[in-house]
Amino acid sequence: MSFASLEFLIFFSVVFVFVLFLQKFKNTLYKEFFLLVASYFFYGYWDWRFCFLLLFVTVAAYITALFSHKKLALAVGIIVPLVVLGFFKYFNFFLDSLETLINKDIGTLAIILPVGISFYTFQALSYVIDVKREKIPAEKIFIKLALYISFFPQLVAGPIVKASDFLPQLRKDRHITLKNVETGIQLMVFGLVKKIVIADHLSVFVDDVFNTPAAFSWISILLAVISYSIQIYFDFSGYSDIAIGCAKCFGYDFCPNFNMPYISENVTAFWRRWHISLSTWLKEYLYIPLGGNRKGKARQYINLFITMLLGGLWHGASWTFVFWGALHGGALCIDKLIPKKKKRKTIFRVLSVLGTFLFVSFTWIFFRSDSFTNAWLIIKGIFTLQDGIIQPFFWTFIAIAVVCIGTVIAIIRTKKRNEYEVNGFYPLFNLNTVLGLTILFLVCGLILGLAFTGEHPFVYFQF
Amino acid sequence: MSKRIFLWMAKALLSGVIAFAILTGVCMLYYNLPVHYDTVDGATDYSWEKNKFYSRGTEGFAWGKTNNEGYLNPIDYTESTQVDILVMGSSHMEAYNVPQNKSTAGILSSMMPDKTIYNIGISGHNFLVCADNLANAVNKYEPKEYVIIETHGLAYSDVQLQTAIDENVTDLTSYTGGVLELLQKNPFLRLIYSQLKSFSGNAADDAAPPISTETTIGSEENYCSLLAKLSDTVSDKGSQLIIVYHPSLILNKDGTASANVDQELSEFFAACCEKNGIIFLDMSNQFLESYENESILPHGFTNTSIGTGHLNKNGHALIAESLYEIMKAVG
Repeated sequence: MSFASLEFLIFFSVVFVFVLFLQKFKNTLYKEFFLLVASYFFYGYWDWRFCFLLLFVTVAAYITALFSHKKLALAVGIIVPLVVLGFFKYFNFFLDSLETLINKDIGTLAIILPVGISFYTFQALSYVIDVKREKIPAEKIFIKLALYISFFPQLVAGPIVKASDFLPQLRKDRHITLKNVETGIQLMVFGLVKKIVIADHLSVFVDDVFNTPAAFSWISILLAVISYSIQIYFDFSGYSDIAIGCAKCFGYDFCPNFNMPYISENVTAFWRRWHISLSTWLKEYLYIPLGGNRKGKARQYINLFITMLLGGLWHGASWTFVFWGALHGGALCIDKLIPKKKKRKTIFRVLSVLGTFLFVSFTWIFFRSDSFTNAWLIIKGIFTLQDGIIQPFFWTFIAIAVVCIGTVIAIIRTKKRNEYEVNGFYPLFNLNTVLGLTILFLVCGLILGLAFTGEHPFVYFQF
Repeated sequence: MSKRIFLWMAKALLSGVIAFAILTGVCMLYYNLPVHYDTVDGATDYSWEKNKFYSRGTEGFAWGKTNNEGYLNPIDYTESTQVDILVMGSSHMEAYNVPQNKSTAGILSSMMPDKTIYNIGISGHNFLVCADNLANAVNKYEPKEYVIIETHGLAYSDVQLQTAIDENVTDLTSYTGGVLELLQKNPFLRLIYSQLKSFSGNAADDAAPPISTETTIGSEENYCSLLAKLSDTVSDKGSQLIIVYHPSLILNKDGTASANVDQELSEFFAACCEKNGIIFLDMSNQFLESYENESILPHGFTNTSIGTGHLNKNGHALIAESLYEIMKAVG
């Protein structure tokens, strides 16, 4: 059940009405139990068998966290989600790699990759570790923990909500309110525009070029690479907006997952703005435990590199993802070597933004390609000024215009507020005014009229 | 409390009306399809509203005006019009995705300014529907030189061929009269209807006609009977029938292209045409040549998947040039 589907609209409406009724009870457990059942229904809609795996990961996290003061329990609490993730996502990948290494056919297992496994296993891990670190107490009520891990807005593609951010919200009475719904609905609508109007249309061109790069001219390939950079941003940030808006409607807050990543002046800044929940997770639960920057410069670079390498692998069981992570890891290390000036001339800042965007776009080639051969064809096509089909794809220019206009508005807004750092924002309207309502209806009308009607699931579902 | 709710509902209603008006205005330029009505003469199953502005931005972007008969034709038709070449076909020939002077008929007209070329190509009219309507069309327009029928596919079953031979192909329906007609007149509602249709897995109103995926290809006898009938219908009026077949090109991994053609069927169809004195123009080679030399594909637009969908300007130009060469050679 995708967010951009009629099924989800019906599901969300039904759940919303029931929660509205259940929040009248003083005991919040009724509401939370219902949300839990709804979340399992949402997840089981893909394949009901996945629910047992989700339950298993949750039960393991629940029990081990209760005994996290014991080393064995902690170890089990960490190992179980990792084994689940490793088996379902990486088993065949490692077998394939071994096969290639020893040049012998050892066969593979027919394993279905459960949707969202990378996200909820990370959430389970974060819970067990946060309890051990005494950031939060172990949750005694199973329903609350299960809801944290399986809450449907973030279940299949994030954001990766930390236990220390979400569980405390379950201890307070969060309600559906007019204000929350007003904000939530608008976030969902903006997310839908990003996903089904912009990202999905871009996917048509990107898929064409990445499927047959040898047929296209260098300029078309370059445009497709830029299109993919924008597509993946709008696709994933659109999904995050819908997830955040959906949770907001029920009264829960998720942290923003994106903050205008393509205005970053360097790769370090990019990772502070891109998939924030993942980069924060990797920092807190991988980079810092590895030693972070506490063990000297050399170890810091190694730790950074390992973190990004594993971050790449987290995205998908393929060496192209590992290489993508390695490129970012390398860039982060180089970036650390370069001394930073607080105030820089605007021209240098603009050039840095452009350079960072080009580097990130280059790395996306490996992220999007299904093999190194394909990635090489794309790169070769651009750098050898290949002849071929010239396709000035209309939606690419629309998307670039949207990004540029959004950036200019954000910069003007930053200047007005006398801030140094440009931050993204949601243009939320007052839905108690004719203007606010008209804009909302206009955007809804545009979604209906311009939505891409073909099949195109969210990019991050595969992770 | 109830006063507040009432006030909010009034605001919402007003906002809805304003937004609807704005969206309708935008769609006047972006997706403005005329309503179609059943025709009396039967030359086509339906025709669009007469002398009506239209525009489409969902696949390519083009606009224009329907003629006095409701076809996308640069010229009007009156009883005194002497048609030299009659063009029939589906939305490909109708060519609502390109300016009228860039359609096959439009380009042919500029290549042969002394000839009257009349295009009654219209959405949904695949080869069988055209075959079904051919007699009526020829009787009405009495083309002096050629009748051109365009097709994107060749595969039909015996049942389909037989219905065309019997002139029994189900008519394409027009939904006119009452609220339905009124709703169709609003371009925004028309767009939403098309989008919802497409979302639910059906082809959108303006989608390219599907290539017949018939796996049980009809018998040689039925194909030849149909083609013989079509040839007779046209030659009775002293005209020559040309069938234009324009398959899509498929891009291969190595950057080459191949035509999406059942070679055996195409050859057999060509032989059947030859036997019945029909000129069969298979565009595969011209399309492939144009791709190899200039990396140009005949189908697809800058806002859709390349190589799929309707004929684009290049496709129309290539077909027009090939037809011109054939007609010049025939004399």
